[in-house]
Amino acid sequence: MNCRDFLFEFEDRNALTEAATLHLNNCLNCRKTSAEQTQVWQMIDGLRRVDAPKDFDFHLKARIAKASANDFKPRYLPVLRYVLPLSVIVLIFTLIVFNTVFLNDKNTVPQVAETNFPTAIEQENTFAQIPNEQFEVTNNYQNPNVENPAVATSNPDKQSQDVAIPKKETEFAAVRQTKKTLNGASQKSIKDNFTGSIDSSLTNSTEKLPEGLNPNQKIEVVPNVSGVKFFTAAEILLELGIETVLENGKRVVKSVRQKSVGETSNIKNGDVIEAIDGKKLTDEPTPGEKIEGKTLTVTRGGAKKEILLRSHLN
Amino acid sequence: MAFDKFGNSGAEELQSIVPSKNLSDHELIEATKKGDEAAFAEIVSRYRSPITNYLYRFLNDYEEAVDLAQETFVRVYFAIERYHTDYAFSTYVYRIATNLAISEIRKRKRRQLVSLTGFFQFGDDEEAQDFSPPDKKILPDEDLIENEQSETIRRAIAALPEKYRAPIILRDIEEKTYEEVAGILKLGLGTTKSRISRARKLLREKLQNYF
Repeated sequence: MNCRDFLFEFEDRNALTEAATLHLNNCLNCRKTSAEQTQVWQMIDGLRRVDAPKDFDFHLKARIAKASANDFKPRYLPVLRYVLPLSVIVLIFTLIVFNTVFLNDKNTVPQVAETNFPTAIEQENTFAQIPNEQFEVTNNYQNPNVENPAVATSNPDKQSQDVAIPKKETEFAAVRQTKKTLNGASQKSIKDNFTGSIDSSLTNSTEKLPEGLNPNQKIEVVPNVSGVKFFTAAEILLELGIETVLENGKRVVKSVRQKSVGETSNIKNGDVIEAIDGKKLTDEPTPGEKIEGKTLTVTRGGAKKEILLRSHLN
Repeated sequence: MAFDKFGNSGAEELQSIVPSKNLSDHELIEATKKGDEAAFAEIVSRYRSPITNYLYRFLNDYEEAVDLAQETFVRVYFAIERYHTDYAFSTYVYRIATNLAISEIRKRKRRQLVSLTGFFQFGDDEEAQDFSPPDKKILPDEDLIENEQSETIRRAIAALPEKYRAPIILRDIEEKTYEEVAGILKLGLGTTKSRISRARKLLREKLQNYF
């Protein structure tokens, strides 16, 4: 037994155990402490108890008669005891939801995304996945009275099904435009069938695939883990409008998209992209929120140089 | 409610709905809730002296102690509907008295009535600020005249910081159990034991010259 345990046992004022007695006999400090404490207790026991005065009840009666019950009611509304904490909890929850839904989405978009190019890959994939039959049916619906009135009258289910399609007009417009550049004659017949908003979408669209870009190329989509988008090096460069190919393990610029960040930043065909934001290119996908896209390190004509990326919007 | 029977004696006390003397505290409270004023008078008679003694040791001022003891019972009386019998009534009434005493000490500090000069000095600044001057008034009862030893310990207890003063008075003077002290002060059992131990150590240090 140590001194601390002894003191706890001693201060309980119960009979000491054998171990405590043994410690007391062997420890000079504890003997002194216990003797002093015993003396303190004797002094406390010697204190006389103070009684209430004889007129205590009389004065108490007078005070109670004078006082009002309202003087001792809680000063706040009892409901506030629950409403205030609840309001705080609801407010915190709302802030968390707002932060999760809105702010996180903004954080995942890289800065260079302001170049209006982020949907190019999606358009291409969408185009590749849409069978020609569906494409034609949609076209027929857009102008049923002129080209194929039988579809509209004899197949009302199909019509109602296609009502939802106009929401994707913009998306399909880009896809059709892509198909126009690639399929020539077939695209011409499609364009003839379009009227109204679809036509205006077609004529106003200025998106063009960079030269040499294979429309049927399948781009591996990295799974979206907990809302975070991952990008490979090629995808990051495509976002910047730079199409590259791997030559001897080096990523060489094959083409640069018009009005893209790559073009504005003066990236040339044949440049070897070494690093983005000072980080060497790897095949490992990078979370979108970690990509700043401020500088590119390129090797041009054997000389390595760092290029500051600029958007044509700026 | 009227408070006619309280403070009276003799025949009027006999008008109590139930014989109060043999009832427990909780039964007396229930009777008071039903309008039995004699039951509340019995509660007061049971606790007026212990509470006065406790507050006197706490505040080191007899008149203030009596005043706060009466205030304690006034609060008990008007809050009796809100009292729950989940814990002992003595715990409840001592807790009210403790809160009132602590409020009074803080009022004194705000009014700058606390003097840092005194018989006992501390090495620790925080503890020194909690020093309360000893009561120099002559107590109304001649029996309260204490010898030198009692005066010394009284002043030593009064000089303890309030967070150590309440536990040691409850434990060593009012002879409450550790559990009761913890309940009155709304502290954990470990904290209560620790504070009582620390208070005893401080008392021993203050009384070193006396040993």
